[in-house]
Amino acid sequence: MKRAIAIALSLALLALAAGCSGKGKTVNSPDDFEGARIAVQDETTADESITEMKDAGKNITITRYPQVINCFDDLRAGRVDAVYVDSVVAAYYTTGSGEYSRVWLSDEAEPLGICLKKGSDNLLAAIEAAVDTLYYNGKMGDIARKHFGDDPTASLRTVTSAPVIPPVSEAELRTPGVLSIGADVGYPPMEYYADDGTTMVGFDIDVGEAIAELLGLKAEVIDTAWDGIFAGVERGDYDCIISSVSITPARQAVYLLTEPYVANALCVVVKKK
Amino acid sequence: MLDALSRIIGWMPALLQAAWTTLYFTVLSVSLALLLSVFLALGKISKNLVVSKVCGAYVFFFRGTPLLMQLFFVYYALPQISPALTIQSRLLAALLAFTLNIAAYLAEIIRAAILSIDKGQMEASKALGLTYAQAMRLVVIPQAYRRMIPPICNEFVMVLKDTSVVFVIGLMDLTSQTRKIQSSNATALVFIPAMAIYLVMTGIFTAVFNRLEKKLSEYE
Repeated sequence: MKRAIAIALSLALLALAAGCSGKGKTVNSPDDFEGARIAVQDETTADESITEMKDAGKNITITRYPQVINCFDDLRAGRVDAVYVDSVVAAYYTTGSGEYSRVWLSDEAEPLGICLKKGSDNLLAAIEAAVDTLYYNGKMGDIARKHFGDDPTASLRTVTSAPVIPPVSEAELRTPGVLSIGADVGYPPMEYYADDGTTMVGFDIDVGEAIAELLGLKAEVIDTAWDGIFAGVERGDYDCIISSVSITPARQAVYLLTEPYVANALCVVVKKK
Repeated sequence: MLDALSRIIGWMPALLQAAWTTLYFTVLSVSLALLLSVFLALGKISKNLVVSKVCGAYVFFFRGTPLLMQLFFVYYALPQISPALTIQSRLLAALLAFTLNIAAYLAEIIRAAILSIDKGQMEASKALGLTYAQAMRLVVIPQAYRRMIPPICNEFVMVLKDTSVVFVIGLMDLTSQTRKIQSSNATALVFIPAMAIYLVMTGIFTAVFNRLEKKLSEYE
């Protein structure tokens, strides 16, 4: 018994030594990821991108979190050197912040789209026309300015004539009269909870409501974890995902995705010195 | 069938790696907690009112709040209270939260075991001239060992499974690894080898504790 405890204690000390060995590294772009500690949200395109770098032989200590806020908490505590994240979200944490700054923005655009399961072609066409309408009447820009301060939707779509929205058949909806939207609420300013902890707010929430209104439906947002969000749309837990879904070829192969509705790219955020 | 088998074999390295984290973490946190809990249990039994109240309050707090919240507190809230309280290592932060939490439960197990030993044992020891500490260490606690084994084994198995909450701070245990494979491959097949690994781990520990129990009951 005593020997077992002694062994356990020495193991604990070893863990302590291992934990303290991580030294900070200055990161200015993904080129500096070698030997650095980087936080990403699990299963996001940032995760895919950094995993690719690691598989290509780079020595990166990756920490994957279920929630994006945890990445920034860790950055603040100095446990990671940088956060690799969507620019739409990075802006929320860096704008007017004395704490974080964005040091790098990818040249590769990774715009966001609305995701539906294969086979929902009519609903896709209706949503696409509704988004076009929001561009046509300028409402998209208004929503964007409200949440981002600037307009990352500008010049994504040029709509010159009023779009015609095809009718949505009840059969395509989970609940008649309701557009059920899946979202991982906890990704500010895209979708998150207001200070009261129960009201969902954000760019995607407003876009979803505006689309539903144009389709003559009521919007219902279903909060779901990012991990498993695609399986949910496949299973029919909600009609579509409006939750900062980056349009990637891999996703397009398996799901239906709209044309981009807001611009986005991967970026690197660090703590201000 | 063969296809399923080859997929399961393909997942095995990742699953075993995660199982190792789970195992290592469980053994380490329960061992450290055992050490702490002996003092807590003795403190709670103690006639010194201050010591007994402090230990009682400790147990009340750590049993009365969720482990997940304690883990969040240690990892995310402490650095915000003061940067000096930042625990750099994820593993160490999780270990701290788990050890503090498990110790509260183990303290009650140990206290119950000690109290179940006949009072006459303590009285006889004192009559023989042993001090309170000597009587506890040489007479009472050795007899209480055997009675602690089954509930400690139970606690151990619980912790082995509770370890899955560490995914919230970015550690990869067997449950989180399984969920990761499940969500990226869109298959529930991975639950089969994962559950088998859990059963193997609990099986081994139950066997070890059973042997320990037999060995310690030689004189009863």
